[in-house]
Amino acid sequence: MTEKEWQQAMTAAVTETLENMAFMEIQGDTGELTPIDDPVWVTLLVHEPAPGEFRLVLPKALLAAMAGNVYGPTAQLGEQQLRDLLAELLNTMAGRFLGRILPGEAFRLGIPQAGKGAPPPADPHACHWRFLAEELPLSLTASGAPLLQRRPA
Amino acid sequence: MKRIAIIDDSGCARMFIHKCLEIIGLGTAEIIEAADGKEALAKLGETPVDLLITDLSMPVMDGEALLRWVKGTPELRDLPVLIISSAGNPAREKKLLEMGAFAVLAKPISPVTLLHTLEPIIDALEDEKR
Repeated sequence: MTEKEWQQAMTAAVTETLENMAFMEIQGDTGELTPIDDPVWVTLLVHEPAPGEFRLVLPKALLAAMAGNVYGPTAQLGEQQLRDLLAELLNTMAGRFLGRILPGEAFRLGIPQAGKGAPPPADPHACHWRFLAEELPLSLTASGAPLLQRRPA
Repeated sequence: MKRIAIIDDSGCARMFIHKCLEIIGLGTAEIIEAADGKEALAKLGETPVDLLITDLSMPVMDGEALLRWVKGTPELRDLPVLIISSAGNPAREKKLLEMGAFAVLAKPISPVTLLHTLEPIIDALEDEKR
């Protein structure tokens, strides 16, 4: 696997997930680390075979737009349902990504943990991806030395 | 009426699978939902189902343990178990199929994929009715 394929693996995972689950198209990795207003976030641990963590951060307005696409524009959703959607999105993105970067290897994921407000500080060695959906930013981060060791040099 | 159990700790995932079932023409089926394998066992003990759709990664009792329990229980051994998971890969899929899973699909599923996968089971159920 090349560095380009590693990057594209996440782009494909995010594209497939948002198109199929939230009926939303994304613009590819913008590479810009612009701040995310009113953020909501979710983290997911990878237990095996390359321990690490994924983090998805997006503005609450984008999550609300996704929820409207999934549940219908008039649905009255509580915090728990929004967190549930956020968790399911990251779970699916992570699975798609790992399936590509660890072909043929069994992997085990943890249970997603959602939060709002400023996310915990990111590992300085983390790998970042930035996308735009409905003109709003969406950030994916992969961290943890064993997981990042799978990234091509 | 067909009964379908959907087991996933994510209410969103259960809703999404339910929607896909509706789109492929199984909207009239009675849906039984549970958030983990243990809750599913309790519900399956009360109400027999025609198809079980389960996630793999769940708290309390995961999908693999649920599959093992179903295939080890004589009254449930023939129940088709469809696994829909984000943690799938060829090696694990092979293991789950060897354990008796009917099929293993990767999230996110689409109605088309679900229909294609379930077609043999839907046909069999229709044949039984005739």
